[in-house]
Amino acid sequence: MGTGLYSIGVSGITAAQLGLLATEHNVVNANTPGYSRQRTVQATNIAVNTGAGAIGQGVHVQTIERMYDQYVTNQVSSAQTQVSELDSYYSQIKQIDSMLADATAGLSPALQAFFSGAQQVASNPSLLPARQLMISSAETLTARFQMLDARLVDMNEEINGRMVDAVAQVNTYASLIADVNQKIVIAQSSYGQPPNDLLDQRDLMVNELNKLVRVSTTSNSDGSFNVFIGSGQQLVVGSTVQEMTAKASAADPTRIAIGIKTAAGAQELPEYLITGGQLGGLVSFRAESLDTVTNEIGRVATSFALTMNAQHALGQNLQGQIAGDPGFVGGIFTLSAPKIIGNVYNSGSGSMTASFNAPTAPTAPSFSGNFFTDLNPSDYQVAFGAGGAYTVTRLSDNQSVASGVGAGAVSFDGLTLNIAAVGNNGDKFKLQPFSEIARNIAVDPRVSADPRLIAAAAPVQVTQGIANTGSMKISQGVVGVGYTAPAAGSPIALSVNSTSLQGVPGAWTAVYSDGTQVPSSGNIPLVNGTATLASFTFNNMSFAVTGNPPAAGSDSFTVQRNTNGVQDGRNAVLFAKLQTENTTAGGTATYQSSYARMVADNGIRTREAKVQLDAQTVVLSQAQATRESLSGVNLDEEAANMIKYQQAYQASSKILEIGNKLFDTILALG
Amino acid sequence: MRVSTSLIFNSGTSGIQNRQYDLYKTMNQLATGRRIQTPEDDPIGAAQSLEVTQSKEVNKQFLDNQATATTKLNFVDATLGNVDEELLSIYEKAIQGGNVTYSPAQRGMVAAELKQRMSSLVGLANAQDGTGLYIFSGFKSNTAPFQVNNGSAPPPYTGGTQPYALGNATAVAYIGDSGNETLQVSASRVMATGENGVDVFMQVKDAQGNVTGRSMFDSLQNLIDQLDPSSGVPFNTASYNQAVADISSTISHVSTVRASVGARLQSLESMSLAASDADFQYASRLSDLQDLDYTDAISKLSRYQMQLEAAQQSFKTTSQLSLFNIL
Repeated sequence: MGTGLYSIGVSGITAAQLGLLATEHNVVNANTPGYSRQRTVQATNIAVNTGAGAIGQGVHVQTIERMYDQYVTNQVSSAQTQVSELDSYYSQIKQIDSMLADATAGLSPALQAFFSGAQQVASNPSLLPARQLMISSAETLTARFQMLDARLVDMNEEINGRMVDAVAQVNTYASLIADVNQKIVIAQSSYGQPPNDLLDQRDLMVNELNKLVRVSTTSNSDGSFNVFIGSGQQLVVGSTVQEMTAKASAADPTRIAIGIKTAAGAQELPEYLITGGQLGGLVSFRAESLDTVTNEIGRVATSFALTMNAQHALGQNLQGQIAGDPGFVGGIFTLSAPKIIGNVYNSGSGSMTASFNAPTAPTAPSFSGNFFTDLNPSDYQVAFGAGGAYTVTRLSDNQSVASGVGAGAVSFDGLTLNIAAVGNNGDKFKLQPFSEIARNIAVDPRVSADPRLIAAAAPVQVTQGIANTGSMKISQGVVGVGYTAPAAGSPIALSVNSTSLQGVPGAWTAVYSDGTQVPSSGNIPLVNGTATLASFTFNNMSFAVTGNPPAAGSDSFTVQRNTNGVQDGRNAVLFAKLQTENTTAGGTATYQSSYARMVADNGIRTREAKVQLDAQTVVLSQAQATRESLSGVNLDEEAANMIKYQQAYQASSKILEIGNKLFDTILALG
Repeated sequence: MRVSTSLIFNSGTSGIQNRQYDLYKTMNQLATGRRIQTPEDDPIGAAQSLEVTQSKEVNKQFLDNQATATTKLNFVDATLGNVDEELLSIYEKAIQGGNVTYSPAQRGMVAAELKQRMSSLVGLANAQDGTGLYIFSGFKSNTAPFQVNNGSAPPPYTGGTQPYALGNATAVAYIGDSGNETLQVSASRVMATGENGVDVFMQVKDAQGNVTGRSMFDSLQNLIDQLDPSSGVPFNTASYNQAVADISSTISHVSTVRASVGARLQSLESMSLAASDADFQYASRLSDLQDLDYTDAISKLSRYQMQLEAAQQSFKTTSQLSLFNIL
């Protein structure tokens, strides 16, 4: 009987001690990340059945359990990976957003300054300082493009660095998890009790891993975890680790691609498999924002240079030179050719070059309107099949834009691809039309060295006969692409009598006041039905006609080279006007509106990311609060528990004391 | 619900941080006066303000161009005004010289004065602007457009005609071209900012708009030759009257050209008014898009301040509550 009393007392003391230990463990780990509070699970000892009934034999601690819910922990991890993804996306895109927003560093002020310079030339074509100003502002503009590009290149470098770091951390966590897996298996099999702290540690590591990239886990019967990334790529299986790699992409060595380490080296993972966490944020930022902005800025620069050059080439410089003359420089700006990168796994010797097509030009007979481009801000992939067959895919929307067989030229989306030699079946090439445009755009060095080369004047001019008696006037003329000006010193003499305009060489198109176009050759009738002659075009030069012919005799006009036409700014007026014309996106947007649209798109993406980040942060903190409410340590609660176990300990001790006294009483009897 | 101790601390500090971010952002807005700090704050507004900025700058460019055009046309107009004055005094002298009671010597004196007038008229026709460009030479503004045919033999006098005429022998030759400088003065208008010598001095039209066939200088030279006894051209009343009528035609011709220049100046003035008005509107639109509503921002600032203080106060109170303090 006495031993029963003692043993019950001792069992109570032991249970209270364990309770106190668990409480103290909780108190000291209140601030340990990932810690789940623990408590003892007590149960009665097996009772002794007697005739007097079942006599209780005290208490024992069954196990120490951690207050833990797998479902809640998964929720935290899943919210965490999204927050980390959005956070890294947002902090990257915010940089572009700020760069584009800067009122002094963005493209807009430089673009505006350039056109102000062009307007100065239009106002004062013969003034060298005005021309010098235009060249300086053109150089400022190209420098601005280069600065924007340098920032974007920096960001790409930064992303590459961050990806390498993140992958290294992923591998570290993966090996730690494998390590802990092993310890858990050993602990569990040796003692048959859950190794609570190790389990917490592993959950924390999975959560940290989720901050880097989204992972999913499955648990094995021995207590170990398998960890997967993407659509089931193994990262950790039990105690083995399949390492991830971050290496230069096979398709484009300037960027890091994430892969899985294999016996042969590394197997690149498609980018869509990398979701969640910092890596997911970086990958989607690079694809959605960085590439888009790089291509858009490149496209604005390309459209700008192509259209400005095309209009400029139709002019005459201060030295009287026009297209075709030695010394004439048609393009103010120089552009680099589209970049082509062969995949490192290509087995063949395919080679190709690409170039930008000339912009769409104002058309005959009036040559009104403006030059415009129709380019897509996208990269392309050229993939070879069997027998030299190839397809070109636009990567922004995965549309096939061209296909063919064998070497030769193929045009699509404002580009021409010249395949010099076909590749082997399976060979791939990446075509990046715009990736290096902003980096390389420059003012033609000949123009920047000699401002007289700006072609502000038009190449032809019409002089009326001094003794003309009619009121008819012929305009100074507008030229289109491919015009043939009269040779210097060989003016074309035109004469007009009461019925026709004579002397126009070769074929012409006459446009009458009712809009009728009549193509023919020989003399141009001044009337067509009831309509009168409004303009005529020959050799891709268009001249407007106003007024009446002489009543008798004939008037003369001379179409000639614009010799000494130093104060002529007609071409400068036209190229300065390009600022407000729809010069990009198939003639639907100005340079500025293309740029503004990109700023808005990027701003919207930034805002979206911020809104999602805020929302997801709320989800995360709710999930964390749920986890905390179950697993978190409350010090007040622990204080109460301490008192509770202290009192249980004291009460159990009292049992021993009473047992002792009882024993003493019996001894005293003897 | 159970609340863990760390949750109390975390939510306390994150509450304070959030309020501090709100305060920081509003403070930035107040410091810069800009509602849109980065396009993220209002992407559409940011894109619109880029577009409006360009429109405003282009409009400002048009204002500049209008000012340039006005300066150029004013110079043309002032020069034509001087031409007009010269022609009026020539006309006066011509009437005087036509007096039948005048002796050849007296006519010779009038001729001498008119010769002076001729050279000042040629001087005006070769006028240069402040940068040394000839304003009446078309595009060839580095070339003096009017050249007196000194030493060339006068055309033979055949009686009753005006010997100097266009297409025949002209007293002063024009070697410029028919170009007119142009400038974009508004979105839809390219305006000629000058007049060439052909239209002003050579192809003179009478009040009915018919070409007289004689340039301003031809008419004057014909007049001088009639008056000058040394010219070998006899004074003939009919011929003389024709020459005087030609001078009268040139006066009306110059008036017509000035009217056209004046009309352009007038439309430039109204364009400038419209453009200044547009400038103001663009500015106010930009202000609507970008600028901060101070009342709103200041009231937000004090609200966030209050919230921050409340968050700090409640954190202080909650964090001090612990059972360990009592036990």
